[in-house]
Amino acid sequence: MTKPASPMDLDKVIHERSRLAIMAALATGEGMTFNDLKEIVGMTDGNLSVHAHVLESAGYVRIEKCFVGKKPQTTLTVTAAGQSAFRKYIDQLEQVVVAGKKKG
Amino acid sequence: MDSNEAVEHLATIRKIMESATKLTVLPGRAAIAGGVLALVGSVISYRLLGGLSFGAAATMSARQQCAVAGLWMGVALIAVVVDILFTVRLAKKQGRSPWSRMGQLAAYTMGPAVLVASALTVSLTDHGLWEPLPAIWMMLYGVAVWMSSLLSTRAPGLLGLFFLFAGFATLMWAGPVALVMVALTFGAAHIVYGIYLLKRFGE
Repeated sequence: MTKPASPMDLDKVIHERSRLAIMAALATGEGMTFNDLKEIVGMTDGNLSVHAHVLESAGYVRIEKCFVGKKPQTTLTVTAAGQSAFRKYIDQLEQVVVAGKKKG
Repeated sequence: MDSNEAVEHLATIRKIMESATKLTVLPGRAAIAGGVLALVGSVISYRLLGGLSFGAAATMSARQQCAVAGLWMGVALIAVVVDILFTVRLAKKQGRSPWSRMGQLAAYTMGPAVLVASALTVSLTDHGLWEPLPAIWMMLYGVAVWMSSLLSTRAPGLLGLFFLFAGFATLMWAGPVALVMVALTFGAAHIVYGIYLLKRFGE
């Protein structure tokens, strides 16, 4: 039987609430503009930028900048490693819930 | 981390994933409008066909056949235009670009199904086979809507499954009352789905 995840096992990069929100929003599709993502997760430009770069450094998110017409656009996409880490994180949460139900 | 905290995290994840995709390929108001159009189309079809089976069209004159085909092509075209208008309106209201994410999603999921449905409709009617048409439309539409649900909220998935089962039932058993099945799926199911979306997401 799989041992339930302890706080030590959980991926600390994803576990932080703001980054978890970013991963959850990005996990639903192929990519999202910075502005779309900001609106969904309800964060300021600065906060979102900081957390997105943490996820990028971990290899979970790819940040691309391009021009749409004359306007600069930043697009964020979850990487394969990010998808895998996010799925693993959810599995661990579900294990914790199941273990909690068995105890209760 | 305890069980309650994990449940809370999972609920947060679900809420964000839903809000990230609440701009579905079929907004609530568009679904209701499409449903009403399909119901009107079904009533007019009943008069044109003189019954509930599409098979009756096989023995009609070329002019009457054109009227039936034109009616449903018109209904489909207006429904698509209404869907696009509502999707664009919803996207603008939410300050998003309708063509970035949802445009791609709609094209990837609906495009192939519409193409196959059109090709089969032309080919089958050309061979005098009208009866299987509603079932084919339902199943292909069901596949497209089901596919869109894989990247969107769960609601279109249920709608897609309903169309798939209804299409299969129409193909196997309900051919003689196909028009009722059309009214139930393209009409009533769309209206119910639209009302659900409006209540659930406000759009």
